[in-house]
Amino acid sequence: MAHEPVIETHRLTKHYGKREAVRELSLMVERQRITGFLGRNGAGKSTTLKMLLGMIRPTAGTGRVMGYDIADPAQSVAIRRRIAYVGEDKGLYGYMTVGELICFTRSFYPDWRPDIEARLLKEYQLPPGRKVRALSKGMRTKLALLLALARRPELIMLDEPSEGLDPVSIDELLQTLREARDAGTSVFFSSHQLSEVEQVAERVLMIDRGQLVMNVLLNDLHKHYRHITVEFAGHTPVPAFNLAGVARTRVMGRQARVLASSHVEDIVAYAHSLGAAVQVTPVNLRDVFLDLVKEAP
Amino acid sequence: MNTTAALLFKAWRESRGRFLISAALLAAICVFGVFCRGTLMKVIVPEGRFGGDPYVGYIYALVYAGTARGLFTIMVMVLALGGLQRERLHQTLGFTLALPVSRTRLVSMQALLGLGQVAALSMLPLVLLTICSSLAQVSYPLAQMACFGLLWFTGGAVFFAVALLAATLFRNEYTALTVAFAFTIFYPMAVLFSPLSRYPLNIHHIMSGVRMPYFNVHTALLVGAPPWALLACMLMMAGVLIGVAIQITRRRDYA
Amino acid sequence: MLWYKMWRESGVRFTISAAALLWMCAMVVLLQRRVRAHADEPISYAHYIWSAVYKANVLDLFVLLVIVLGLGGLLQERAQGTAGFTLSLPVSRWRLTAVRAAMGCLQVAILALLPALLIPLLSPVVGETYSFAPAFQFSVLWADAGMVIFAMALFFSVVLPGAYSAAIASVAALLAYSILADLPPLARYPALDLIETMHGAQLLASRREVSLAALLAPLPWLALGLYALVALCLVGAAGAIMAGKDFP
Repeated sequence: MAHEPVIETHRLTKHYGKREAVRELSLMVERQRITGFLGRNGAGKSTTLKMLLGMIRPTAGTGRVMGYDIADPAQSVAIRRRIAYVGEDKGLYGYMTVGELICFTRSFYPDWRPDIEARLLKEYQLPPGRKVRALSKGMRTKLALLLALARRPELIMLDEPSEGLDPVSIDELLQTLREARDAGTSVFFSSHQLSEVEQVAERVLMIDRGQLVMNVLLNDLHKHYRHITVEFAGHTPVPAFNLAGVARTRVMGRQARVLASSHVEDIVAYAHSLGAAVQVTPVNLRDVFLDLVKEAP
Repeated sequence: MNTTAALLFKAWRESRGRFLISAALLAAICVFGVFCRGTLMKVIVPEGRFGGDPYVGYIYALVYAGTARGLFTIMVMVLALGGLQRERLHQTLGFTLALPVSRTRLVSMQALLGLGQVAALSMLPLVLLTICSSLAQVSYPLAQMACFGLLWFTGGAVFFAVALLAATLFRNEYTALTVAFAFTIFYPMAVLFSPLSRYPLNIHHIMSGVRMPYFNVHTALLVGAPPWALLACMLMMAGVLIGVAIQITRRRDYA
Repeated sequence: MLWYKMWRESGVRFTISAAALLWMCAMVVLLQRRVRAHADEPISYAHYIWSAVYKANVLDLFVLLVIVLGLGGLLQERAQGTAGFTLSLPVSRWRLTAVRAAMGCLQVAILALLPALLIPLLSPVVGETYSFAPAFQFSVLWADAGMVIFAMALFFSVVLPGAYSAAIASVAALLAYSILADLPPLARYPALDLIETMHGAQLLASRREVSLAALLAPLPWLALGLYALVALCLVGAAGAIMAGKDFP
């Protein structure tokens, strides 16, 4: 039960004319985990989230959230009843006051928790009588989080939640996400702020040009992933490194830089067998991200 | 607040300013029209234009066929603008579409509130003219005002629906307004073509009674029973246009 | 490049407006036989064109479309989140207002010209003639008076929040003004009546019978100069308000 998927997609695809925004994306997001969804700008993160929410219809493939089909309008309403969403631009109705907006949103969710609402209102120091358009970006984010969390959703989806926030606000946001997970809410958030993802996420999904390029537990990444730098002397041709455990190879002149997800010893032994100098270094999320998505020079 | 009330509240807050300005302007025409009738009558209804009660002819020319009706037509179209396309521009679209309500319901509630506002504006002259006329010790038949209110509501509903559809189709709010305004002028020309010309399809004429069998041009009074069949057809047309707007919204991607 | 920005922001409205006006004029010309046959008394083709285009339907459309052209501006950019970018450009707010006004006035002038181009060209198709000279006269009247209407909409778009309040206010102001202009003491100065000027009231000796010859009277240059001045004042006022406004 603890690790049943809250989100499941199978070859989910979205075309805009000839442009493929999302290409045969198959992913699974586990229940009661914090999952980071990484990618460059324009990789397809927001498109994926919007398909899951029913804002965009997939061109092909299937998706399920909490077991409901994302392509069915009636089931899409059921999805939205059980999940919360905080968009990238934190767009909220500027013409309403904080109090009015809370009242408005509350009316859609029978499972609204007034106790959580009151606690978060106090904790975030949101003035109920102030118009939303008069709030700072950080306060708008907090208001958006309050609206999302005040009903204990089963899943909260966030699109670039730390966009435009100061470090203190970011820290508070990450803490909120941890608390939500501890209280039983699954968290799925897209970001390209790797340091933040590394602080809170348990699993990381990485998308590039509409396709999933990595799906790993963060602990496993730190434990098993390594950079193997292989230096070839003389005129020895640089091999392709088509070995088990090789996630990506970059060749720059006489040097090959291998990102290995496993079988590190075997790769090192192979490199040694070719007479190359080998250096193995641990990686962080940023190293892996850059290796997987950055264009070769 | 239940979800219906919440959605109506949202639609009200988004259109409140426009509605109140429209109501204020219509009210101003009615009030000034009655209390400044001494001066305005000579301009608006020169002698001989209508037989019968000159005040009746004057109110008809000022309100039900003239300035106020033209303003009403523009205003109901402006009331219909906005919606999800506008929310896209104002970056609240994600929040609205993430609410657990169907798009059908979102648009329906917007249309429902809008038609309520059209009805309120349609009946505003009845209320104000009754009060002001009695204060000014003149009178305009209540039954006439009620009938005109009904004609205005029905015609207004069609214009409202056209503007709602335009606001759904076009991303830019001013493009929708341009198309809506163009329609209000185009349409009377278009119905001059056969086979349309055989039927009483000019909404402006239906609202004002001009060239309609239920209007006496000499006395400026509506005569006989209201054209129920015609009004029902117009309401049906408004319903169809709103239905189309809903379908388009349902099918659209909001990337 | 400011011109380009203003064009991109109003281009679609302008294009639709131009198409709508051209279509309306075409319909007026093509339906002339049917409409004239149903008139209460026989009217000449010139009279028909005057009453259908320069006095009623097409004029009404022109006025509404000009109002729409005047909408938008920095207040709307604020609502849409682009005001910060625009205001951070190295141009004064006066310049922003001036270029927006200039683009709009140019568009109004082009729209005013369209009937003058189409009607004389299309009239022979229905077996009638309508010369360019009177048509261009009306274009001048419409362009000049149209700029006042545009400037009024632009002014309202600067002072009123909301995307549509300016449109309603403009329509209401125009209707109120047209009533006031018929009242004494303003009625003594027909040049002050904007809509009547656009009808060509000062060109016509009589409205009972409008002929092409009657339409070739001299233009009311004093009135047109006054309108241009009013338009300039409205744009100036809009510029001054915009220059002093805070955009928090």
